[in-house]
Amino acid sequence: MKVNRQRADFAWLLLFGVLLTGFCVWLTGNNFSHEMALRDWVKVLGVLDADPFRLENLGLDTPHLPLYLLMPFAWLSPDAQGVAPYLLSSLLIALLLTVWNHQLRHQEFALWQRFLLLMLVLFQAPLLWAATTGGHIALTLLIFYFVYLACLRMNFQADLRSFIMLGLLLGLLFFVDAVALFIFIALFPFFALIAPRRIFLEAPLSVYIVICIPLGVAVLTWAYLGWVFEGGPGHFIRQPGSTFLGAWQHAADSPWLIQYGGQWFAPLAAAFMLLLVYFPIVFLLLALAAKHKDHLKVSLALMSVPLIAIAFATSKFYLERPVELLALVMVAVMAELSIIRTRKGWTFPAVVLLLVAGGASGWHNFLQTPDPVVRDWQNALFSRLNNTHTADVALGQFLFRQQGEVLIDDFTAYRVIAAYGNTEKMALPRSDLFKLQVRRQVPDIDYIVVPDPRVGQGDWDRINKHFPDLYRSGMKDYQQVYDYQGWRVFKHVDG
Amino acid sequence: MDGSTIFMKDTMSDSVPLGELLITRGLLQQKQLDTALDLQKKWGTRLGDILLSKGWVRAQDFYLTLAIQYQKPFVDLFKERPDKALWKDDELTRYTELLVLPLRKMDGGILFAVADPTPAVFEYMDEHSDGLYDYVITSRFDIIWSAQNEADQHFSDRAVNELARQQPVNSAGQVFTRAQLFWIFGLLSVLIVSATFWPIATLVLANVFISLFMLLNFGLRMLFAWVGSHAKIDVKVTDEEVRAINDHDLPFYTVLVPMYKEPSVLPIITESLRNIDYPLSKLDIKLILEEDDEETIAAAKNLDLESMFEIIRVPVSLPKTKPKACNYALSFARGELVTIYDAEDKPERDQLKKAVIAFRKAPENTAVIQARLNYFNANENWLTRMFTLEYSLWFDFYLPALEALKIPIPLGGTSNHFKLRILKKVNAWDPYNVTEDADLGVRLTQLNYHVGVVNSTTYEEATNRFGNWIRQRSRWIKGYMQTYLVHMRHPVRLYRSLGHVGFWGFQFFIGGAVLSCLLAPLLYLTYFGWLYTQTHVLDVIFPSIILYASLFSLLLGNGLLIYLSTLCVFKRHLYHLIPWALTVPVYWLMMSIAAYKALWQLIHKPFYWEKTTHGLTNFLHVDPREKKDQADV
Repeated sequence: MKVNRQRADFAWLLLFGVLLTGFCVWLTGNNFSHEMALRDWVKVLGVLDADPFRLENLGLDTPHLPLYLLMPFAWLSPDAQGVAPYLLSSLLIALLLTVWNHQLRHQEFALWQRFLLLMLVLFQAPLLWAATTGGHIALTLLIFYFVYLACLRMNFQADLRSFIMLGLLLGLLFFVDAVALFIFIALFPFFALIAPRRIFLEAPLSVYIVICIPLGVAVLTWAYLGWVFEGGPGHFIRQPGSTFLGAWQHAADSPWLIQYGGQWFAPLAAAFMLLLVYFPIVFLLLALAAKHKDHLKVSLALMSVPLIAIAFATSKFYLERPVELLALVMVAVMAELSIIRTRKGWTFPAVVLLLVAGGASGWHNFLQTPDPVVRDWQNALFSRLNNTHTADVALGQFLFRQQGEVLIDDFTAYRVIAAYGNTEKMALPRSDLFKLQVRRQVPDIDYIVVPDPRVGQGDWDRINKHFPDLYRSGMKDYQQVYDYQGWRVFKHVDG
Repeated sequence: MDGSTIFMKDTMSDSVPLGELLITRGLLQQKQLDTALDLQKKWGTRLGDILLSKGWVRAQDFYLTLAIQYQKPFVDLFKERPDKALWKDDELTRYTELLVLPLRKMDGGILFAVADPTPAVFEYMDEHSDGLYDYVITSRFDIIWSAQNEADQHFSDRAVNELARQQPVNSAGQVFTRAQLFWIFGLLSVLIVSATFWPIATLVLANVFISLFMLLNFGLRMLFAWVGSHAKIDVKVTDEEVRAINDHDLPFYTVLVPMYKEPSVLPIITESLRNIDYPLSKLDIKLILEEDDEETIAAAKNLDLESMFEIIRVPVSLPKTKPKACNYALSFARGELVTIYDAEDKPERDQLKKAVIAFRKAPENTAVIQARLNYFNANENWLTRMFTLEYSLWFDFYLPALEALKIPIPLGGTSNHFKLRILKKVNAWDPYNVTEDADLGVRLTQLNYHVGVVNSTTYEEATNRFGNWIRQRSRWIKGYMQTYLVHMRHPVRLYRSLGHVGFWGFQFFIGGAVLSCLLAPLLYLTYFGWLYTQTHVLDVIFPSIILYASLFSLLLGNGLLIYLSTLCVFKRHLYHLIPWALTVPVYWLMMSIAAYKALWQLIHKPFYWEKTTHGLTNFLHVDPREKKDQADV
């Protein structure tokens, strides 16, 4: 029987995986790309192509675990490699759905009921977004599912394992997504409600210590590694472009941050409204949870966590689009459905109805969003997007035709590298070759690529920082051989 | 006494009942007799045993009365010494078990001195005298004293040499075997040559080994903690089961209490044992005292203890160790089950009953049940807090996990409950091993016996002084080294007997515990040296993968091991200790100091038993369950 269940689970995983992968392939085939996904993939290429292999070359400005998970995808054919981040996120969401399906069995739903629930959840806008955009949020959602269940278990059973699970998962989350800190901060005040009352009253400090230590160890580890490899423990929150800073440096591009950035109550209220629109089912679940006082208390606290995280992240100009954290509410709904009995009577139709209603209103809201990346995603659903990064692609193709090593900063030129396809001939900022060259007054390398420092993030380019006059005036022993839409390439000439 | 009269049957059939006789002789009150008769129904033991265990009749008076009842003479074996020529060495243990001694020859038969005229004793006398025998009554104390007095060499020899004779391969009497010395020197030679000609490669290889070991060590401990945290793993015996058990069905229990120069704690342990929830008449308590410990012997005599307590004087011989003393006392054990308590121990009152129930629920081949150990003076100072955290992790998490994963359990120093016949069959403890308990646990597993754990706690006194702690810990680590060396004499055989999981569990839990203590200072020295000097000299011996593994062990490994220390208090609700757990790395450093001392002693004084001083605490023990009951009220 156990083997049959395992086979069934695998079949479900395959089904979801195929569905979501197909979706990803469709989107990327229509030229959709997400900045974070591309950056991650270029980082991974940079490490895999380098000799010697060094994990620290991934940099400490982004959590590493999703990057480690991307590495096996390097064995895909070069043409398919560009979709790797999207494949990974779709597989992770497929895994989340499979795990949920496995736990729904305990509720004794009929097969058709389970299938219906799964499809309704799968096609919720936030979950589909998380599955198909190649970001870290997919893994975050998977982990948050277990965090949610650990919290419930901790309160209901006062089980030691739930303390361990919660602590370790929060620690693990830090290595997955920088948003972990905001989730933790949102969850922190609620430990008093979630922890078993007897234990909390007896030793409140101890409860906090036990839950917080793994995350504390994770953060200290990261700071220490920053000190060892990057010269300072605060590197990961100071480095321009660090994912730990979120959208802080390009807040002006985010309609959400333009409207709510730096505020607290306004985004909290907005998040609550979004909750009403996307997930009205939350209120039904809370009403059902009210049968047990402790369950209601804990569920209410946990359902509030995504909203508070949204508010806090917005106040710090971290969060670009709330839908990503709002997906945590979807995960919370899934967790509640796995433990609240909704199979019989009026509850199941009510659940279906509210999921449909929330799905419809959620999609309506989602399609109205002014966020340019979301708009691209929506358009890619129906038609091929025009390639707006033709300059990067063109440069990548140009470099592909040249022989020789290239000095290039992957922070600004990640799209170029993605178009190029690999980093074999490239001296990236973490390589010894790059460090050697930028220390010289005049580098000794075949090609140097620089963006226009006056445009976009060009002034953050590390080559521009070391050679500020290069783009404008060139350099001795170098001849400009390429100039197109903000990119210039200089070739080394003898004499 | 009419030496010509040989009785072959029970002669008390027409005599007055013992209780009445004692009342008639003014040695017992009616009320006491009534109580004793009630207890007899409840406990299922004989009246005499009950009266003696309660201390209502002095032993001398009792046996005199018994002689009257049996219409036999009473003999004082101090004055009338037995003819030792009639004794057989291989029957000595039976003599002390049955409380019978051949006294002298008479009229073609043998006159026996008997303290307990049961049918089994009559059968024995019949068998060992070709049917021609008579007997006199004497006291149990006289039998035990005579046996020790006349045959102490025999008992001593058995205690010291029996294991080495029967299982030389399992005796730590030889610290290193020739093969082991060959391998050690061979390995050292290879390392020296390798380091001379290929220094970098050698250091890298050593680093690879250390990194891998640390990762696996860490992983294993996390696994044990995870398995041990399972709620179901905890309760083996419930309070309801204890309440339901019938005292009538309980077996006789021998309790060994080895002591040395501890006269002040003697009243405490005897009081603890008196209060134990077990029929007193079914207890056979041996206070095991070294012959030269006149102070403690005198203190024991002055306490005028009930007859369930027996003083066993261990003759002075080498090695002077606790296992040797326990082996000696085992020759006088009469129980079906046997346990050990140290002098400062305070077991939970129902521990013996829980052990009985645990045995009944356990597989048939279960040889020993280990109770949990913890400390009653946890809050005394930083050291006792650390000790409590360590023991909580060990006994509440690791040991249950070891049992669940079928890995050999290194027994704790006390509160191991054995089946006596199995213990004797495996030749009991190794007198040369200073952690004889750990060794026995592994040995039993190798012989396909099961080692279990039970959810009952014995509270001990945590040593509260650094020097005392170092002495104790260095002895334990030395014992682990001995245990490792003994059982790794034939690694292939060990692998075959323990299986894959058991073998590797043994490597990491016994060998790994020692190795990690020894390695830790070297690693910290390297790290802090690098931190201070920022040298790049070490870069070459830390290729990428090794560097990542080392960083993982240093940061996440240490961090999560500290985390484990915070979790271990949950089962005992000692939440106030959690903040202290953050200082546990300092405690680990102390273990490393003890480990190097242990290594030194292993080479220079392998059998030296460094005695831990007890009775230093000002804390009083209150059973937490009684404390909870009072709080609930």
